[in-house]
Amino acid sequence: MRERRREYELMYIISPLRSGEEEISATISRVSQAITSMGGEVISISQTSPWGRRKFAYAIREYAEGEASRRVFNEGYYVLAHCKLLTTQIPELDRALKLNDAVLRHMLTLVDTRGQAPVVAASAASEESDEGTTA
Amino acid sequence: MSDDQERRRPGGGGGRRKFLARRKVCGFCADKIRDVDYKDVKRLQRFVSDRGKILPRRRTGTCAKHQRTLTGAIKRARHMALLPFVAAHTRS
Repeated sequence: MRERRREYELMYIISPLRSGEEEISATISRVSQAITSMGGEVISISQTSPWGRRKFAYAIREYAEGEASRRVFNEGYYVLAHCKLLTTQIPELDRALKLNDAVLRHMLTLVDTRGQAPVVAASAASEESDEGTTA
Repeated sequence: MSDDQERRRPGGGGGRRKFLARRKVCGFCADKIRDVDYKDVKRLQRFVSDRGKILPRRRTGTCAKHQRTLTGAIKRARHMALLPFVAAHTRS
């Protein structure tokens, strides 16, 4: 498979049990480290409003560490990150996020960079209008 | 107007309600937005019923293409707990 770098948007939720100040930055740096160790680069991280500490739209029940039954969570800490990754490393990143105890949920989305100049634009938004979509 | 024609059509169907919305312009086409963002909860909430269900196109007036991306975005938002799957009913 040809190796290609693409821009992704990663959103993950940190469990409220691990939401002490230092724990949050530790988790974020762990995730960023995982990304860079795979040869990717982290472009930006956002934890300010509307992310950061936020109530869920529904209760999430997950196994907490060391407990037998699932616990109910009603709020968590959202983090939104933009990163550039090799396409072959995506399953690894996904696995790393799944295994991480502090990360409750995560979602990796592709940022649509069609219609942009091939030069690296630091603020590539995912809603750039296209010049001409091939329908 | 095409509205009257549409209203006469369900007469033979039986059981069909009257059309609730007039022919509207697709909100996304009007704003020239190509991709619906799953993070844009405020905008997404307009296309979801009070029970949390995704509204059909004839209610919201979106075009087919945007309805598909909209549905995908709503489902992603639901996965990340930004939108509920089922909205809690406040009156009991």
